[in-house]
Amino acid sequence: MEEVETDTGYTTFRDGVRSCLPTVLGYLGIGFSFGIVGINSHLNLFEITLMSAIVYGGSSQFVMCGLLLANTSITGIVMTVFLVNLRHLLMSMTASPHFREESLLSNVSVGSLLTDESFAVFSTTVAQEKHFSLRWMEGLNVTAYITWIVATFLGGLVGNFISNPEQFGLDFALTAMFAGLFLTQFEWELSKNTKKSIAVVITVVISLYILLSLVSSSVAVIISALLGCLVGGLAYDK
Amino acid sequence: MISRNVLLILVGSALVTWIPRITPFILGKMVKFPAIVTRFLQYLPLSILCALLLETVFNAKAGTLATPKWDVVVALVPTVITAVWLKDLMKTVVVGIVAMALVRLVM
Repeated sequence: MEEVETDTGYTTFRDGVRSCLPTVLGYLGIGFSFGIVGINSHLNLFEITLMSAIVYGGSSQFVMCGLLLANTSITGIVMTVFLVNLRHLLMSMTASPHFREESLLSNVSVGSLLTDESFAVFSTTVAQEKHFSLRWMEGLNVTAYITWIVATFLGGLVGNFISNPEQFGLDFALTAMFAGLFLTQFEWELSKNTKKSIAVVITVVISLYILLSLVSSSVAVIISALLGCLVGGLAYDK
Repeated sequence: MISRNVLLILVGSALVTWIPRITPFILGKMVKFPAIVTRFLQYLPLSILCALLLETVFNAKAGTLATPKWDVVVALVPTVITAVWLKDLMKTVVVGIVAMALVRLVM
């Protein structure tokens, strides 16, 4: 609700833009390398930009390029993208209760633009017990969305001249961003409940490693994250 | 401009990505999730960020044991140090990219 007091820095659309800034470089690096990879997977500039605009899921878009090159069937590709992006369902379930009082349209718009990174920034804000507005969330989401599309387009423009963005370490932007986002979240959780946070992380690490050898990595991420939640939720408080 | 097959793939992929993203937001407007669900999901941010980070570190193939991508592991060292020390995501990403470019130059 608009009437609820929000904390300074989490109120206006501009505040949301500012909260997104630390992740912008990551989006630029990944989006740019996606643009290059897309062009080298025989997609054209229009197709890759459209993909970033309507699919809007980093890892799934790289996977799509690989599958297109391997001549995978349409249903095969769509099914894979579904699994790779299914983790968003859990993130949306976690985030949506915070927007119950907002309109249906606002809810759909927040959900449509939810990414790993915007969810991470949102979650850290929640962990810090900051009160935020819908406008803040929109600023965060829209900045990320526009950055992603622009980065894809720019990568696509140079895609004909560069064949492997990996040489420049650009693909590592994803890992570096996840590392930074995870450590920020971990630090807040540790300060709230040290033992429980460590138990959750250990559960995820062990189960993910085992699951990676049994199921596809996107399914492994979902199951290990759920196991982490299970341990966190079942552990006694204090 | 765009082939029919690519268009079908894009639209299909967009739909299967969009529906899981928005469904909880639509359901959440109509019903309140049980307290138990919220209690467990409280740990989702930590769990899923940990899983997503680790996923990028391993070469995985169902049926075989996952092996670490050594270039990623090496580049992660300065990245994690920067993240813990400076607590600045942008600098973390810059250090990471530079570290990885150097690692690939040598390895």
